Formats: sequence, C-alpha cells, structure tokens
Amino acid sequence: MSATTTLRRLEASWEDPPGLLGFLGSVDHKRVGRRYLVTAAVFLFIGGLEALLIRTQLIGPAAGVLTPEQYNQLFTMHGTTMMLLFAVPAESAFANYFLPLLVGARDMAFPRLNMFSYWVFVCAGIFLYASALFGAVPDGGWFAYAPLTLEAFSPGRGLDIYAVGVVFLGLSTTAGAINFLVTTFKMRAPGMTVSRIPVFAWSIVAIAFMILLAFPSFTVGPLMLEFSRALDMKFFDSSAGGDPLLWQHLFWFWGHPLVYIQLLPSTAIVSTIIPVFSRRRLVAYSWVVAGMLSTAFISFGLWVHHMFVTGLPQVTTSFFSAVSLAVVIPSAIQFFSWIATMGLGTPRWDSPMMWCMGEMFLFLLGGATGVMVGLVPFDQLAHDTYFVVAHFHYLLAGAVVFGLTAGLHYWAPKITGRLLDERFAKVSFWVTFVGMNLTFGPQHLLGLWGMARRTFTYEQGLGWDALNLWSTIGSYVFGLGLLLVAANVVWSLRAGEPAGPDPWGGGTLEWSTPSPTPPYNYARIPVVTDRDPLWAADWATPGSPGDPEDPDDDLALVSSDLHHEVYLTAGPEAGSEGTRVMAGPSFAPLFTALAIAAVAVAMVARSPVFVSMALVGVVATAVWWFWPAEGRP
Amino acid sequence: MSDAVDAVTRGHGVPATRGRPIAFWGVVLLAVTESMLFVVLLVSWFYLWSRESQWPPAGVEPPELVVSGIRSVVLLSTSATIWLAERGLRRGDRRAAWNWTVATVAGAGFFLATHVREFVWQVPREFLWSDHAYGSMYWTILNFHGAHVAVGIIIWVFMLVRLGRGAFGPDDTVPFETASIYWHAVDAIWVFVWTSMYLLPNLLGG
Repeated sequence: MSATTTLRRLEASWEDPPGLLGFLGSVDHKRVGRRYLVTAAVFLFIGGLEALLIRTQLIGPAAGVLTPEQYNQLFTMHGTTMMLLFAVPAESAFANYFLPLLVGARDMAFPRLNMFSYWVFVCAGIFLYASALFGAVPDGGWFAYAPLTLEAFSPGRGLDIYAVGVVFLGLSTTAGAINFLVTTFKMRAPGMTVSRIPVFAWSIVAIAFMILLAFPSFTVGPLMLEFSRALDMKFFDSSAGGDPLLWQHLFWFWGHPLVYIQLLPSTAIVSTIIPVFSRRRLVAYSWVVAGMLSTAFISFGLWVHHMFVTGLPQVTTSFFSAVSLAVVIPSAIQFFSWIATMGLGTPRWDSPMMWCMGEMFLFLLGGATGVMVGLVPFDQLAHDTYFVVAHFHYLLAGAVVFGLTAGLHYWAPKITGRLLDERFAKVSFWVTFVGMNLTFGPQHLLGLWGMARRTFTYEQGLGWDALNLWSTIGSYVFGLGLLLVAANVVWSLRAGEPAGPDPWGGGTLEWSTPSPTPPYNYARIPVVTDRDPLWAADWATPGSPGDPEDPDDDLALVSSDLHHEVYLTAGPEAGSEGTRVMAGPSFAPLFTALAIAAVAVAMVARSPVFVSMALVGVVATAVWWFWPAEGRP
Repeated sequence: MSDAVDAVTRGHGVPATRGRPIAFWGVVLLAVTESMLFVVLLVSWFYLWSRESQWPPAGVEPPELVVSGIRSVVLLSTSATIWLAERGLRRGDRRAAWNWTVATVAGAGFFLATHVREFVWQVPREFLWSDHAYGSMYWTILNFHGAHVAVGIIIWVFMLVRLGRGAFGPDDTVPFETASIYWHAVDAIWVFVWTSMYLLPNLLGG
C-alpha cells in the first residue's frame, strides 16, 4: 500500500460519519475535547458576568444594584459555575483532547462513555441554570451548609435543583476519571514506560484517582440534603440525632481535594511548557511526578482546615493545620523544578511562557496566604473575611485560570492548526494579569480590616470604599483581558498563520503529527524510546521510531473493514499486547444522558411515578447502549 | 496484522506482554468508587452513632440477626455460583454457565425480595426514615445497597438473554468476567454493611 492510500483509508476509518450520527453520536475524543473547551468557556463567561454583577454591587457602600436575595443567588451560582461547570470541565477539555495524543493513542479507552460524560455535563449545566427560568435559583452558597439549606430555612426548589444537579454532574466527572485512568493504563504507545509518561498525563492520573475517591462524598452529601428536604430525613437535624457538621465534613472531604483536582493539571501544564520554551528537559521529572502524586494523597487530609471555627477539638484542628502546612512541600518541589529548568536552559518569552510566569507568581502569592490561613489562630481571625476570598481567588481565578490559559496558548495551534497572534496574546496577558491583581490584591487588606464575605453591602465610613472601588475596576479589566484571549482564539481560526506540526519545538508526541490533528491522530502507532521522544538524538533518523521515510506500514493499523482499530499495551513497561477494535459512533450515550436528566427533573418535581418511569428509561437506554452490534448474538 | 506490529515493536526493544482487558480496569475502577460511596455512607453512620448516647435510639430494637444472617449467606453464595458460571463458560460448557447464572439471579432475587419485605412490612412498623437520624441512615444505606443488587440482577438477566442468543464462549468471556467483578464488589460491600448495621448495634448498642 502506498503512503497516500494508507492515509486515505485511515481517514475513512476514523472520520465521523456525515449527518446527525456524526454530530450527536461522535466518539472522537478530539471532538469531545473541543466541545468541553467551548462549553467550559461559555460557563466561564456566565460565571464571570455573575462576578461582575457582584463586584458592581460592591463598588460603593449601599450601591443598590442588587437586592440581597439576588446577591445571594449570584454568589451561589458564581461559585457553583466556576468550580463545577468551568474549572473541572476545562481540565477535562485538555485531558480529553491531549491525554490520548500525549500517550500516543488513537482513542480513549471507552469512546462512548467519553461522549456520555460530555452530554451529562451539558445536561447538568442546563439543569442548574434552568432554575432561573422557574425563579428558583439556588441561594445557599456553593457550599450549601445545612441547616440553612434545609426546607425550613430555604423553601422553594432552588436548593433541590442544586443538590440533584451536582450529583448528576458528578456522574460525568466520575465517568471521565475512569476513562482517563484506563486510557493511561492500556492505551499508551508501545515502549512508553511509567518513567516516560508526560507530566500532564501524570497529573490527569493523579486527579482521576482523587475524583474516584473524593466525589462519592459529594454524591452522598447532596443526596442526604435532598432526602432531608424532599422526604424529611433527619441527617442534619440535631433535634433528631442528626448533626449539621456531618454536612460540612462530607462537603469538604470532597471540596478540598477538588481544589487540587483543579490545580494539579494547571501546574502540570506549566511543567509541560517551561521545558519547551527553556529548550531543556524538565529538571527532576520524577520528583515533580512524585510531588503531584503526594499532593493528591495529602489533599485528603486537609478538609478540616475549612472548619477551624466550628468548635472542633484543638487536637483535631492542630493535626489538620500541620497537614495543611505539609502540602506546601510537594508544591515547592514543582516550583524549584521550574526555576531550575529555566535557570539551566535558555528561556524564550513567547506568550505561553508569559502565562506560565503569571501562573507561578499568582500561585506563589496564593500559596503564601494559604500558609497563613492554614494556621489555626490566624484563620480564626481571617475566617469568612475577604482575606480568604483573596486567597482562594489567587489560586483558582489566578493560578488555575492562568495555567489553563497558558495551555490554551500552547496547544491551540494543535487544535485549530493556526497560531494565535503573538503580540495580541501578550497584550491580553498583561491586561488579564493587571486586572486579576487589581481585583483581588486589595481584598487582602479589606479582609484584614474586617470586611465579611457573602454580605451584599457595607456601610459608609469604614474605610473600605476606595479599595472596593479599585477591586471593582480591576474585575472589569480582568474580564476584558479574558475576552481579549477569546477574541484572539476566534480571530486565529480565520486569519491565524498556519502552525505546522510543531510550532514550538516541543518534545512530546502530539507535535509529531500534523495540526490540526488528523482524525486518526497518528498515521503510525508511535513507538516510544525516550521521555521526550521528539528530542531523542535518534528521532526521525533512518530506522528510528519517528523515521518519516520508514516504508514499513505495519504500524499504521489500517483496518480492512474501516473499524476503529487501536493498539493496546500492558504493564509498567507498556509492553505490546495487540490490536483491538473500538466502538464507533452511537446515539445511545446521548439518550442515556437524557434519560438520567429526566430522573433529575423528576426528583426535583418530587414525583415518585415520574422518577420510576425515568429510571425505566435509564435501564432501557443502557440496554440499548450495551446491545451487541448487528449480526452478533 | 498484529504479529507484524509485534515484530516491529520488538525491533525497538519493546517486550510483548499480556495484560487485562480494558473492560476489566474500567469495572475495577467503578468498584473502587462505588466502594468509596459505601465507605462514606458507613463513616456517616458511625459518625452519627458516636455522637449519640443510645444507638439505635430509645424504643427501637437493634436489627435482628437470624433472617439477615440467612439472607447474607444466600447473597454471598451467589459470588460462588457466578464463579462457577464463569468457569463453565471458560471450559466451553455453556449449559453450566446458564444454570449457574440462573442460580445467581435466583439467589439475588431472594435477597432483593426479602429486602423489599423488610422495608415494606417490617421496618415501617418500628420506625420511619423521618423519625430520627438513625432511621434516615438505616433506610438510605440499606436501600442504596438494595439498588446495587437490583442493578446486578438486571445485568445478569441481560447476560442470560445474550447467552440464550448464542453469545459468549471460551474465547469470549470478558463481558461475563467484568460483570462478575461488579457482583463480587456488591457482595463484599454487603459484608461491611451487615457488620456495621446489623451486627455491631447488637454487640455494642443500647
């Protein structure tokens, strides 16, 4: 077979079919990744608008822009949106698109489950926002502390929508995590031993394990809340043997790992970009990986530091304070690795690198204030003030957003095939960076001066007016900066310079294939003999795995009947195991997601009949999903 | 095709290996997160217990052990029957696979039927889920587990239908093996649920 026939056959095997099946039933991980990216950006925009409304209300004392009720709804939806509908799905977007590419695979381990995750995410997002149509927007904070959120104190269906919606959404995250893990276990290119797995893939492994162990807590907690509201159960009712603190334990046992689920891929993006632009391999790769894995482990022992003022025994708070300080160590390892990589290399300051520097700076500041609030005596002073708001926004709106944007600037050419405008990218960086610091910098002082969180206004003459004004101006600048980033991406789709396969001189596999990535990812299954395969001395030399002239077509895995054929490996050595045919497009994931959405709607409607009918629908769609293809028993 | 690929990868120094199928890892990880779900539920159970002087609360008898013990033995023995079904399939004895799967469904069906009996006729006479936190936990955890058993029955009936249509054989055991991982997990979880919710309140309660 000639090379062009091979490519044409591969394309025919892997391209989505035309029409509705290709659009709604696609199982292409790149398509899923792109959809995640766009949907997460839409939710970032919505959550950002909510933030701007909040800041506009706080522009001066008694500004009167929002009613207290609206303010409560906005900060609840802002938190829920940014944590669950923006940050986690944005990490999923990069993981979906780039995890298979980074490990040299053509597909995810469970292609249909992958599309299912996306549909569930979209349905859950719409479900949470549909609350606005019925005038029942959740208003109990994204943390929804009981007993405030019980039926007696929060009537209406707002918190039912929150409780059912987050459980529904958790399904998508959990399915995604299983998919990422099995993809890394089984789909790595032959020869990609454990010590050759790219750092970003490692970060996804770390967060996927965290998701599997942390999210059950956020399934049980909100279900208990919903059962308390709808069925009058007594988990959080201290007059009937319940305990309101149970909610806080369940919430933060998930909520604290969640912060690292967002942060780790973001720091891993920095660990990916810095070596490329410093033109030097990452210093202390194994320490960075060990640092990420130990952060994942330690993050399960931190949750009580959100509860230092709830009256827990001192021995408990002391333990959790000590663990909170210990988590600094693995973060610092990553930091020193970045500094050493830049110091030993010759850095080049392109836009992805600029965003990485922003990430480092904001991570450093947010981490330093994190050490402060990790100390029990200081936390007891700062708790529920704007100091805490400033602290976690430096990490989440700062480090996480800047890391993700660095990844966007670095990888967009691979997704779209076109370069972003470099000068425009730098302008948008500085606008965002200044806006971010102007918004949240002053809030440290406001917090220290006693301004409380979650309060819809403040009185005149407390000395808070000027700093609040600056903070509000900063939030507009911040928003403008992120809009500039989006504008740059949209502009590049039409007018950007063609990127070519490897615009940055990267060392990982994804840069060895054309941009945008062809439907089959790699024309030949890559064989990996180095941690940065493209930087190996013998890459693309005759007879090497990357040899472009290699006439040997055996690694192309051209399927005679146009199936999705992939190559499996096994074990820490990624020894070769054999080929396997993966599932093609199907409508079943979409309909299963819709059936589960119907269960969620029925639960909020509190109709047992409707819930039972919807459950029958879930079973029916799942049977359809697993029913063997035509011609098989 | 695959042999040719193996030859190329061996040429680059990559050893040939045999590993577990994709579906195996998927269901193992599902079992991990499902087990965590029950860990969280049982930790909540013990947390609320630790904050009460009397558990179960006054006026509620600790759960009885004889019937629940028999139910437990029946449920756990289905782990053995499904293992026998798998073994039959691997040996090419599809008749044995069918029979042992039917036995599994029967055992699971008995467990679920007695579960429904407990919650429709027995428990409501003593307490409701809305009476106290103990009642809320009791209803929630046991019905969570009951729902897992129900899902298992659906899976095995699905497998029986496919078996009857001629699917599966010595070379096609993966769906059967992976489904049984889920089933063993549901059984193993029951050991902890029964110990925490039936046995321990009898030993330590009051």
